[in-house]
Amino acid sequence: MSTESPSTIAKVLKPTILILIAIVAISSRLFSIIRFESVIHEFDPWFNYRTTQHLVKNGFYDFWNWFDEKSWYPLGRVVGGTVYPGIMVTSALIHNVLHFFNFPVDIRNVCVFLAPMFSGLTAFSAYLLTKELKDSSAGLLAAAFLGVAPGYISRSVAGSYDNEGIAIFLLVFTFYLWIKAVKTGSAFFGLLTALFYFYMVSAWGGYVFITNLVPLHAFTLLLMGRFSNRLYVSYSTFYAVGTLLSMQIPFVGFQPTRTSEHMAALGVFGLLQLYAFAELIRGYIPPKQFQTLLKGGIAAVAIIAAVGLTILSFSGVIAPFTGRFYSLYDTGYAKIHIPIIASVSEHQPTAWTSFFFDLQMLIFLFPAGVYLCFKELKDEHVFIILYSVFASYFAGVMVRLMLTLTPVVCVSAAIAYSTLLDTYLETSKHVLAVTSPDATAIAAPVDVTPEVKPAGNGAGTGSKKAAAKAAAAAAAAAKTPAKSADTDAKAQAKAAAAASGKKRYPIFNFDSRALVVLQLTWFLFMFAWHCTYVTSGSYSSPSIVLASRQQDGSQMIIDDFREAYYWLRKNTKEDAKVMSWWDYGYQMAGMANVTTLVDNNTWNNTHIATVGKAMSTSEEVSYKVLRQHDVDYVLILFGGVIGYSGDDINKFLWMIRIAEGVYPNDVKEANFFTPRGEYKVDHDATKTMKESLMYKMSYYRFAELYGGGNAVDHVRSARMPAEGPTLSVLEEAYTTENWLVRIYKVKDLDILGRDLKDSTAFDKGKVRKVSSLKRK
Amino acid sequence: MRASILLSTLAMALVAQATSLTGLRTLVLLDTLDDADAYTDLWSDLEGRRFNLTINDASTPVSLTKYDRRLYDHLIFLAPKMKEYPKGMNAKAVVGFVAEGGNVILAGSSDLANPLRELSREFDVEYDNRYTSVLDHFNYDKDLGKEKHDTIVVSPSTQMSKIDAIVPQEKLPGPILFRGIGHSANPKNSLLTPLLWAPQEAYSWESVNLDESADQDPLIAGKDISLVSVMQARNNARIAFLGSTDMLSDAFFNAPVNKQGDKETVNGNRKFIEELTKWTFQEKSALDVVAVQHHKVGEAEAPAHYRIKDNMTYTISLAEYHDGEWHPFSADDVQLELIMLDPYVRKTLEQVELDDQSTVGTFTTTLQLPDQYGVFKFTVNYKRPGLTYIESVTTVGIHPFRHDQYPRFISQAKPYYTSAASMGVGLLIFSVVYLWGGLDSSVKTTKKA
Repeated sequence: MSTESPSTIAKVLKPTILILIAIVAISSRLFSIIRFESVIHEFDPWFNYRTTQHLVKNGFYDFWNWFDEKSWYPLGRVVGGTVYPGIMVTSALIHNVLHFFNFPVDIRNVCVFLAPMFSGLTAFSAYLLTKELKDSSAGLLAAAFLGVAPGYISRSVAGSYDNEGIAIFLLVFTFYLWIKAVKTGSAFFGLLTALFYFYMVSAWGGYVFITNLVPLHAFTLLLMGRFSNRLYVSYSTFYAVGTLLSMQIPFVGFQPTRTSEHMAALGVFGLLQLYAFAELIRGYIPPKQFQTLLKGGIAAVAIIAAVGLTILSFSGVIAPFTGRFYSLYDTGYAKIHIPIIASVSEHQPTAWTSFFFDLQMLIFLFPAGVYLCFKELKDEHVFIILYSVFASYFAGVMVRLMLTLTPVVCVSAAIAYSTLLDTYLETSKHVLAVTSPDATAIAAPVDVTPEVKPAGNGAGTGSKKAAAKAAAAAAAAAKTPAKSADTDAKAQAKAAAAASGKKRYPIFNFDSRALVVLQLTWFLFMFAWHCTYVTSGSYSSPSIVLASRQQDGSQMIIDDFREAYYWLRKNTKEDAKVMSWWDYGYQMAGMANVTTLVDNNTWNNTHIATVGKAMSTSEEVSYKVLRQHDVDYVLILFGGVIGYSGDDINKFLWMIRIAEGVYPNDVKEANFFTPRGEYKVDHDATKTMKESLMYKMSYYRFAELYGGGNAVDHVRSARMPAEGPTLSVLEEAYTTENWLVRIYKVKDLDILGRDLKDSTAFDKGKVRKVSSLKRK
Repeated sequence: MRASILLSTLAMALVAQATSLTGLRTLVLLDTLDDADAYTDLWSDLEGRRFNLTINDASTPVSLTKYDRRLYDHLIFLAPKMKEYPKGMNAKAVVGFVAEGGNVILAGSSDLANPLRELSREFDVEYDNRYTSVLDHFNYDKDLGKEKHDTIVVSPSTQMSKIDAIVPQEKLPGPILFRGIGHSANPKNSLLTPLLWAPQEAYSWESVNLDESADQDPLIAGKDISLVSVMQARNNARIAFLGSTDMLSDAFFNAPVNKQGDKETVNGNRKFIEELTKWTFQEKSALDVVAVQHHKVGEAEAPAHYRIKDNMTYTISLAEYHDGEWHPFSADDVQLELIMLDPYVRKTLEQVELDDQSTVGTFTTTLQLPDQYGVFKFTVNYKRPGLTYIESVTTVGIHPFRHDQYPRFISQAKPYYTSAASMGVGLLIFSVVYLWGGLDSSVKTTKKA
């Protein structure tokens, strides 16, 4: 292992392997492009894409000050101030650099391939991070794991142009830099941490995870009595510079000084200053007086902090935790209080199966890795332990936070896996050498000095000394004078330490070695197979184009969404306002270029509730809302014909709930349930249900499709009445091939002043029979 | 069968100086063509105003529109007994004709048949039952309504809406004679206005059974009986409903008024019908938005968008059409509203003083935009009885401040600027002293050594 030739090979191998990992990471994310086309996926990416286009076309300052009149009509949206601009700026930068060198790459392709490209970088930063924790071979494993782990791929396939695509790279890299900063105590690395933290803040709302995890790490080290100048320098640099930088993002603004989520970071910063100050004083005054001073000081600071925080919280200077954060403590909270958050599927608690689905074998290697971290328990291992604990909790609470868990799982699994390999693959000569009793301390000063100093208590020192001894022994075994310069002494020491943990009993038996190694290799194969299977089967659908297999096995592409959006783009006037449920807002703005009322940036609950009200009330009530908001068209999804279960009738209960929260007099959820408490759309549907605009729009002329009899809704397996609903305030404008998207036009007021019900009846040939004289 | 009276030579020559804004092609529907003789004064009045009359009876096939374009501009129903529409025409076609901007005059009589009843019902006008008449035993004309008291004398001063835009009261030389059926106009329909109604003592009763006791409750009585109602549809097409074909006839045009207890006077029928047809056929009281301008104070061009709290000027120019040409419109109640869901600003526009050269009435105001960003509609919603509805909507975005429009330095923050600056200066001094001051360097070197 430590002879010259393997290290030379290793020098060539490592970059090669890393490059190969990056290639694998990128190429396994290209399924969707090969199957479908280079297209932006899902919902949020469409907004990011649209803003990136704006940025590329109009320049940075125009983007920064962009007031979007086409969304949230008529309120408008201050895009520059409500967006995390990281991803757009990154793409625009790449685009402009490429164009500078005369590579005429379309911005769409930059956007589509951004996440896969960054996944290569993520793999590399996982390598760096793990290398800091164990050694480079564990690093390579971690890189390989993170490169293909489905938990990360789910948000970074080609076309999934979302914040997370670059944010996970930034997360891992920031953590690497932080660990490096703590280890070296260098202000330079602290500064780099702050810079990448800034990039992270600009890219994803999940930066709060860093904002809390890093202070928590510092605080834990403080409690463990591991305060050091290294920690002080790195944290102070990181916090001061990072916070100032993060406040430059308009969306974040003054939050770091005003919201509860950011208070921990500030508190730890203050605590570190006080601690450092106390340390300073300790050097100048006698211990006894210091004790008194310390007690008094701690009491005073605690009282001032508690009182101050309470006053500030109650006076509203510090904003309380937002609903999204409460839902992290109590998973039932959102369902009761903020339906808008609960209605998003990715905010649901995670099903336990998805842990295995997303991480496969890593999930059971993960605790082993954490255990190994406990055994070592240097500053950086404390960090990994904290990270794994908190990320596990959050991943359990919210599906989409699986994303933050995945890197730490990969890292600790790599540590565990590599430790196993170390144990079972070590050459017998080396293992024998470890057991040899003579110890010369050549490598000892390199490793021991920085570590013994902070370690204050006895137990820690003991284990450290054992480790140091082992390191020395390992170094001696090599017996080459050039070794300290040539090989990574630290890594070797760690390997030896791991070996020392196993009480130095080598495994001689070839059979047992082969068995374990083969088993592990088999696991790797399984893992790779599972990852590819999951990526190809579950995470590579663009969701704007659906594919289904027909009975004869041929593939059928369902392209109704784009068909509908294209129709809107080509057939409506330029400033047409289209109302739909907020899920489709970004897509409509991006693909159909129409004005939308609400979209996936759910910043205004009232406005969304108004749309919910328009959907869930009768035509007369709804028409007033439609008129007030100048709605020209209404777009809905209806899956009843082809059995697409994500349609609006299935989302309807959320619309009702959200609407009821704001308009309790107009919308009542209970009225939509049958007396037996069922949510029905067939003959048994309640009157309110049948009169609601959503129901009418969904099933308008549905029965005609079946020639008047046996109309069956394939999503809800409901037999529909032969007599479908009638519409008078809307008229059908367009229905796509598979009826997936239906667009209705809102009628103008009747020119003769009749109500639209009468005028529709008249157009159908019915004349008024009731005399208005007699009506009086 | 088809008999048309075409004054094409005259009409063609004078299209350019047309008196009606929307066109001259007029279709008249009569029960029989013989009835045409009863209305010669009306024809000559209309032709004098260059209308191009096509007089048909109900048996002649006719189509009002072709390829979604109107073939006629105005339609006069003088066919109360019509049992079926002419071939090619039905209630839907008439409503469609109105929707295309065609104007309609519909005159009924006591024997009004079903098709026109149903048609008027769509306009929220309900004629009383068949064979009923408006009767009045006090205000009847002694000559024409001698027997049945069914020709009533309507006094414009008390029984006519004071809407000068339609029929100015002072232009009528005398009271109006009416003989026919009453109707009720649904008060809930804001587009419909009764123009002429019956005297207080009148009632609507079956005119055939007049001898029987008349003291049962009539369906409608007194002021509730509308005699003439007008509607201006949302697309500004104008429709007039009359309860009497007779009031348009030569006989009524020329008859003197002999009301019980009053001395004989001339009647106002001819003038009333002239003003009513002028209004209905868009010869007057038609408004148009000539121009809408808005810009920031001190600028001339309309910006792509405004900024909150900008001062801006809004100007709208309106013209009124009458007597064959456009004139400046003047009013003191034109308002501007800034609407985003709700009105944020509502302000009365001031009229710029007219002079000899002015061709349009210009209304303007200067205001400060609200401190609220969003997409605002600058709306002039001017709807007055008899006048064309004006609804001018200009959609303009009001944006928040740009990043460089905030003040760069604020006075409250001066202590912070000072502290930051002093910190910088302090660091500089400290560095210089530390590096080159020679204070600590000796100590340091000795330590290191």
